[in-house]
Amino acid sequence: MLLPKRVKHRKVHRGRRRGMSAGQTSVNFGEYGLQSYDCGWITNRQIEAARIAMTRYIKRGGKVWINIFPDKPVTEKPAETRMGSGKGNPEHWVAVVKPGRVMFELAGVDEATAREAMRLAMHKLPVKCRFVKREEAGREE
Amino acid sequence: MAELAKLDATFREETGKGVARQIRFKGRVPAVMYGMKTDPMSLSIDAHAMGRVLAKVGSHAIIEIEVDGAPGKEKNHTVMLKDIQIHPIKDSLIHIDFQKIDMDKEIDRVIPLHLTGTAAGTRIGGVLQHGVHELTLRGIAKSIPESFDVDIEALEIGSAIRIADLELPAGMVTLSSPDEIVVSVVAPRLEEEPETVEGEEDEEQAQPEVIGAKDEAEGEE
Repeated sequence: MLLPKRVKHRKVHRGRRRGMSAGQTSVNFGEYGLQSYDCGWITNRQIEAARIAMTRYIKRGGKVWINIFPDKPVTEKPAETRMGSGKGNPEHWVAVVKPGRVMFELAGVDEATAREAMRLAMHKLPVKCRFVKREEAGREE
Repeated sequence: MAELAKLDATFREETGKGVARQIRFKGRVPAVMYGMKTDPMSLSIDAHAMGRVLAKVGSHAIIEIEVDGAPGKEKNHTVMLKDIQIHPIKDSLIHIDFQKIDMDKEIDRVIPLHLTGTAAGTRIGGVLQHGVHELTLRGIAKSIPESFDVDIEALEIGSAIRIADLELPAGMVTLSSPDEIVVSVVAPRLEEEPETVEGEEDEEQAQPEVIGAKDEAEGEE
């Protein structure tokens, strides 16, 4: 599962997820992509589940790119604990995603296979998504 | 060179985000035209007309633009689409940059790179990896082709075509790195799925090293 090797701080603030994604809003590496419609926190388990769903469907051939990395620690307090006594313990890692972010990319498969693989991956993610294609010059829509 | 696509634009004096928003609300797109040592000119373009031109000729095309209400005598300009800002979710046009060019002078232009044929390696199970989708060419504007085709019929598994291998049109040079791989065919790789032991998922995830934590601890001692 994806996890940072080294971090500067063990615990961080939650932050806000305002506005659109500042970068990676188009397909840059592969032919097809999975773009987020919402903002959200994607855990490393969800990223892994989506990747497995995609690679299992495309079987052999094809290449998958993961454009998000879970670099934000999320803390939780143990169950039945009174409030106070400081921040909880780091429990898992999330990637912060904003609308427009192309989270996964795929190449080396036909469009129908890519669509189905991405559809399966969408079901593993906590945000609304859409299937996008690389913008090609001179392509009649 | 094929006939250039035509586009009508309207000159505007007002600038700023408030004006730009009003223009977009009216179904038009704010744009700017600059280049050839002239003052930049703020324009607005019909969004549907621009969309049709983009769908037809692509985002790096050379087009002919007729500016209505512009100061000066010259109304028609030959321009290159320099930058297009598109809303990431709505896919609507936000702003367009046009660069004025002289068709008889040297320019740098990005053209799409298309693959033709089916690679021999993919017929026996290889995976085609298309690395470079666009090529930057330097040459006389009117002689730069609209797109560049790369024949991949002879590509076997393990072989690749680099930028240096491309036969460019006469008088053209590419600004891309010659070692960059345009397209390659690699052997298929099965994804290895590690067997998950029951209960392993519930275990606490390994924690990363905290930068500076060790030094602080040593300092305190």
